[in-house]
Formats: sequence, C-alpha cells, structure tokens
Amino acid sequence: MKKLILIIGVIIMCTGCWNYKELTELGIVTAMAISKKDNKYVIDMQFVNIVEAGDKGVPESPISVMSGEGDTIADAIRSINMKMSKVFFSSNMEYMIIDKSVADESLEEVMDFLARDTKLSLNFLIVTSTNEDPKNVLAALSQFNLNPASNVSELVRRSEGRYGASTSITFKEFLAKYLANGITPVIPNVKLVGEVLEAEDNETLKESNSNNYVEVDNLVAFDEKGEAIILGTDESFGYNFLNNHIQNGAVTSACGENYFTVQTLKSKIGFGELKGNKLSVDGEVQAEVFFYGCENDLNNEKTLDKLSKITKKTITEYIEKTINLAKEKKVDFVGIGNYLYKNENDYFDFDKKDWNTDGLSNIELDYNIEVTLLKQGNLKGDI
Amino acid sequence: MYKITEIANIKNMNTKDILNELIDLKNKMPDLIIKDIKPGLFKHVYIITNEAVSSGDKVNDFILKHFSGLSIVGSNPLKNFKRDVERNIPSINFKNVDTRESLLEFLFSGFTIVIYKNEVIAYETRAELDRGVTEPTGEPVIRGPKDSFTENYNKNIGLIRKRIKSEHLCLEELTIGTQSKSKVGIMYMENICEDAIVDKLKAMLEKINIDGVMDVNNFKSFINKENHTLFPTLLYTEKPDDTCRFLLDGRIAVTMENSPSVLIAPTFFVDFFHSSEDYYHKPFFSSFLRLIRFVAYFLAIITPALFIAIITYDQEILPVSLLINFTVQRSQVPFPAIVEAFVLMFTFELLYEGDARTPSIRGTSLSILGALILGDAAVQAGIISPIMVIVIAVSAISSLVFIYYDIQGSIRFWRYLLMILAALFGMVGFMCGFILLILNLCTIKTFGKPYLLPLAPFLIKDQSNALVRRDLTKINKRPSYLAKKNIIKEVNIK
Repeated sequence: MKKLILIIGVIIMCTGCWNYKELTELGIVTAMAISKKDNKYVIDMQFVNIVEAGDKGVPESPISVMSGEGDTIADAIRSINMKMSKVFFSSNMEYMIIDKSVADESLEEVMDFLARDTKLSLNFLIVTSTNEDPKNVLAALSQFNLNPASNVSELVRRSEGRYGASTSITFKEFLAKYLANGITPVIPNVKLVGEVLEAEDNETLKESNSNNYVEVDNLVAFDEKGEAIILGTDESFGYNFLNNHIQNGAVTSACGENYFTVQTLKSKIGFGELKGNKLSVDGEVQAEVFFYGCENDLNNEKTLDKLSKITKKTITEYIEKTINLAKEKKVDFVGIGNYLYKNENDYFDFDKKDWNTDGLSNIELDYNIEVTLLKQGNLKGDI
Repeated sequence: MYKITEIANIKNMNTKDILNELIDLKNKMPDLIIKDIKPGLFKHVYIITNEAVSSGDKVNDFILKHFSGLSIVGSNPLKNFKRDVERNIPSINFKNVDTRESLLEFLFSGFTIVIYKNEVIAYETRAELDRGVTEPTGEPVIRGPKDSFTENYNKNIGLIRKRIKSEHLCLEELTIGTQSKSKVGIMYMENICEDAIVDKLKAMLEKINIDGVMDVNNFKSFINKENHTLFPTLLYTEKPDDTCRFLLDGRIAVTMENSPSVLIAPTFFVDFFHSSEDYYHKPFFSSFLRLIRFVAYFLAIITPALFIAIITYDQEILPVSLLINFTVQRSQVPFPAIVEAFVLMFTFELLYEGDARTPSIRGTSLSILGALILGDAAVQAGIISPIMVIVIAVSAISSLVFIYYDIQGSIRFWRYLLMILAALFGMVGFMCGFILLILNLCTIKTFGKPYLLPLAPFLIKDQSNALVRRDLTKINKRPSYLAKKNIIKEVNIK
C-alpha cells in the first residue's frame, strides 16, 4: 500500500491533469511571421481550419491567418490570444518568415524569443520575403497541398537538392550560424506570384491554371543594418556548391552558340590550405550529360574532356561570383571567416577585429575544382 | 430423501428392513426399479437398480437372464449363491456389499444390487452418461490431433496413456470435496519430473477443504495463491496432445472426474504463447506466429492507452498531417477522448460476451448488429470518431489471438488501468503503468520459480523454444528449469 501511494504521489508530482488538452481545443499553428511596423512587433500566424471536408468537397479555406501587434513579441502573441478561442499549438510549425524589418538589431530579440519557447521544435525552416508583406505569403493557398505551410517547406527543401538555386535552413542551423564567428546565415526568399487575394475571392483551389501561388526565389543574407543582400541565380548556385547542398543540380554552359546541361551526380567542394593570404577552394564534381545541344560528337573522348573543362569553368565562375558578392557587400555569408577561425586561428584576430570589414576583402582565393563527366547520359529503351 | 440411520452391518440387519426402506423410497424416486424373481418356492431374489444411471441392456443381458433361467425346482445354485454368481455372471466389477451406506452409494453410481436372503452383491452396470470424444471447442486446431478431453475421468486418463505408453507415467488419486467426493488424478512422468514440485502440488490439493469441486478450474483459488496478480499462473487445456507435451517437459497434469479440461502446473508466462500446433509447422512459420502473439499481447494492452496519452497530452509526437487528420475526425465528437474510448470498449465487451453466450444460429444477427453499431452508425451519429474505432478494434482483435482463454483477464485489467493512467497523467502515467506491469510480471512465483522464466532470468540454453522455436532436432533438451532428470531428449537423426 505504501508503495502504491508512493507511485501515485510520484506520478502526480511528475505530471498532472493541468496539461490535459483535447485535440479539438488546439489551434494548430503551421507557419508564423515576425515583422516590425512603426516600432511595434507584428506577429502573423497561420492556423489550420478544422473543417470536415465531408460532402462539401473542397473546404472553403483550409487555413486562416491571424495577426497581433505589441511592443514586445510576447505582447504581440498575447494580442492574438484575445482573438482566438483555441490554445496555440506550435510544435509542428513548418516555417517562419523573418521579415527584413526585424533583420537588424531586433533579430537578437527574435532569436532569444524563439530559443526560449519550449513548445517550439527547433526544426522549422527560416525563410524571408523581401518584396512582400509576410502576411500575404502566409495567406496564399496551394493547389498541391491543402496545408500550404507544408507545401512551402517542401518546396524549399526540394528546390535545394534538385535545382540548386535555393537552400533550406532550419532554426537550429540558423541560430548556430547567427552566433558563430565569421559567418552570416543565408536564408531562402519566397515570393508571392500573382495578386494578393481576399479569402472569398481566392479561387486558387478551384482553378487548374492558377496564377496565384508562392514561389521560392533566390537566397538572401542580411547585413547588420538589416539590408538584404540578394544572391542572384548564379551566386545561389555558387553558394550551394560551396556548401555541398547540391545532390542532382543542373549546370548549363554554352558551347559556341548552343548550350549543354550536365547533371551533377556527386559534388564535394570545400576550402583547403591557406598560403599567405591565399585560400584554396578544392573540390570534385562528378556529372553526366543531361541535355546536349552542341555539334561535336559526344562519343569522342575529347569532346567529353572539353565539356568537362567548360563545366569546370562555369562552376568556378559561380563560386567566384558568390565570393565577390560577399566581398563587395562586406558580409561573409559564405563562411570563409568561420573556416579560418576554426582551422587557421592565427590568421585573424576575431575577438578584436571585425572580420567582415577588415579581413574578408584581403583574402584571395585559388580555385582547383575538378569536373569529371562520367557518362554521356542515358537513353531510354532501344532507340 | 431417506432416513439416515446409524451405520449398521447389513448382515446384522434384516434385509427385509432395507427392502422396505427401498420400496418406500420408490414412491419418491420413480426411476428406482425393484424386481422380485422367484427361482423357487418361497425363494425371492431381489434385483434393484436405478434406470437413470445404469444401462438397461447390461441388467437384462447378464443379470435378469441368469436368474430368470434358473429352474424353479431344485435350484441348487442358490445353495451357494455367491459362487454361482461368480461363475455365471461375467463382470469385472463385482462387489460384496456389507453396509447400508455403501449399498446406496453403489446403487446411485450405476451398480445393480442383487439381494438374496442376507447376501447382497453389487454388479457394475453403469450407463455411458458422457458425450464421446469430440473436437476441442475452446482450442480449435487446424493441424494436429482433433480429439479432446471429456467429462469421463477414465476416458481422459486413457487419452493420455495411449499417447505416452510408458511405465514411468504415474497416476496418483485423491478425493476432494466433502460432499461431491470428486476423484482427482495427478499425472506426471516420474523419470523426468521434479519430485519437490509433485509433493508441493499434492500438499496444496490435499489442503483443499471445500464441499464440492465442479471442475479443475476451481483449483485456481487454491494453488499459487500467494501471488497478487491477474496473470494466469496455471494453464488449462482440453487437448490430450498438449497435455502429453507438457508431461514430457516435466510438468504435472491434474485431471478430475466430470471435468473436460486438465490443469497443467507449473506454467510460465511464455507457455501461454505456445500452442501444440507450433510443433506441427515449420520452425520459421511457428516462430513467426509466436512473435505475432507476443506483439498482439502488448498491442492489446497498450494501444488505447498510448493513443489517449498522445492525443490528450503529448500531441507533439504526431506529425502535422496526422494531427490535422485526427483533429478533424474528433471535431464532431462531444466527449473527451477517455469517455469515447470507454464507450467503445464497453460496446466491444458487450459484443464479445454476447457472442460467446449466443448459440451459433443466432450469432449472425449479433455480428450484423455489432458491425453496424460499431462500424457505421456510431460514427455517423457523431458519438465516436473513426480513428477511435480503429484503435479499439486493433486492441480488441489483438486480444483475440490467444489460444488460452485465461490470459484475457490480465489483458482486460492492464488495458483499463493503463487507459485510466494515460487519461489522468498522460505519457508519464502510461509509462509508470507499464513499469508496474513489468514489475508485477517479475514478482510472480509459480511453484517457487520466477514466472518469466526463461526470459528473466535469461537462460540462453532454453531460448530455442521460448520466444521463437528452433527445429525440433535442435531442441534436444527439456526445459532446464523444469526437468531435473533425463534432461536430454535423445533425439538422434540418422
């Protein structure tokens, strides 16, 4: 009997009915945006509408977006509480939009808030939207997934590996890069295609040729003042090649007037030795021909050699452009400083000097990237 | 019914008194037959029998025929009644009766009483009052022998003896029940079984002081009573092949007259997951079936509790699409999850019990009604959510895969306990409940041995026939925790 009382006592101490919440009481938050307007924080939350599809077919709208304003982030969230009958449930949040208005000093407050919230998982994606009010991005629907938030997060993840011009970054990685020396996090930019629609006019789910959707744009890094540094397609490629984010990326190069495309099969590029102030960028890319529009005979070995040389040049150019952009904007989003901090600690005094302004422009880079074309590509069947 | 007088020697009593008493008795007992045969002048032979418990054919063919055939004149045989009867009436069971009490006992157990002057003899003319050997109903089989024990004690012993034709198969008999006086047989292989366990079991049975035992299942309340648990510590089977397998392992079988099942002791947790059929399949398949049973056992216990804990406390575990799915399904249900689960479970228990007690000709209407109520109408009416139906159904179906019915009690108890703990304390409560379950399993002792043998303590040598089964040629040793003599089975494959 004593044991039983002990066990029940321990259980009651460890837990309690006060954590009890029925599923129907939950307001499931799938995405969130933080921005600042007139020196006040604005929080937008995307909730899943719990409606039974049933006989009605497609529900009116699968989501609803609520906004709140306040002097602090906590105040802003509390103001949403006043409008909602449900308990916020944000553990399964898919992504968070960090607006450029909070990318300056306020970013520290945002990070602090997100890291403190024990209910949040650390694995949601961080994105930004430079051209659009984040609320409009949250409100956009998707034809592919009734839950538009998971559509966006999948979109970002897929386009990273498949296309190579974007990259995904989770909150955990973002925080690690944000706090690390000599590196600034790069986040994907999403944009809204088409006009901003009110819910009742939103025909996205009813049309086959929708003009209204969210698209992954290029990458963005923020400098200390909150200015967005936009990486073009080439720079984004370069960034992803340098970070080995590309699994099956396509690289198109010109051969005379025509073009050919190779698909990477394996890509490993990284920084190497430092000699004086010359840092080498070494790497190996294996690829196969994916599209061939040139005139030379592909069966000839020399042609393949030639093609790989051209591809090597293209990839090197991508990386060069990326690093030049970083140098130009004086923001090291590539992570050269971080590499040196970890491997060549004597080169620069990170504690006393600012790497972005004093160190980055002095470093020279030496590119040694090998490209091997393994195959001429595949033909289907017996053509 | 009749006057109980002092036990008196019949020889000192006038048989006429007894006859008069019996004739009085006949008024209240029409199935009593008293026949007066006159083989000679002033000579009366009384034949008394109870037609309900004795076989009319046997009485006619052997007893009446003999006495009726005696010549009226000079019936010498009657001069030495006993010798004559012994010579002329063939019967294995032929008894002298010398007390009034034994006379009545013989009469009501199917004997025919013959009274001549002061001599009383009882012949066995018992009628076969039991059903024949039928297929087992509680433990249906696909492969293997399809006979099962009946209510007949001798038949049951015979079904075992015909499988183990060994002089080492011992049978010890006891009588239990002050009023019912039921015959109980303890069978074991004296060259395999551990003597201490036989003694222990015998002592336990001898201690039983009760007016009547109706079935071996009554012994549950008297054996292994020190354990506070709902897990079955004794196994009951109605299959002779199962019983013989257990006897050869070094276990003891307890049979009883009028009981169609046999008690096996000692039995351990893993034994309830084994079936005689396991040995008639290839090792891979029977191992697979055993693992399925183990998984089903824990699924039956934990599924509803785990589901309740997840959807009411720890929703973070669910991926978002599943969470939305569940929420949509639950949005119409007006009850908390635990109430919903209990409503469904209760409905299932009703169906389960109803199905077990309904004659099979009415079973169809029950299953249609059950399927409609559970599957469709309740969901349509918005009382319960489809996902809860699935969860309860998984748990309920999992509980139906067991061969031995006794295991159901433990499943029910722990299932409901865990459900309540999960509803009150969430995942932590569920885990505490599960730890309690494991603790309870670990503390049980059956005849002084840990119940979880051979899993805990882990006996590596006995694993060939525990959770899985290896090929029969590889299981050449009897369980080391049971057999103490002749441990090696001597399987020789030439």
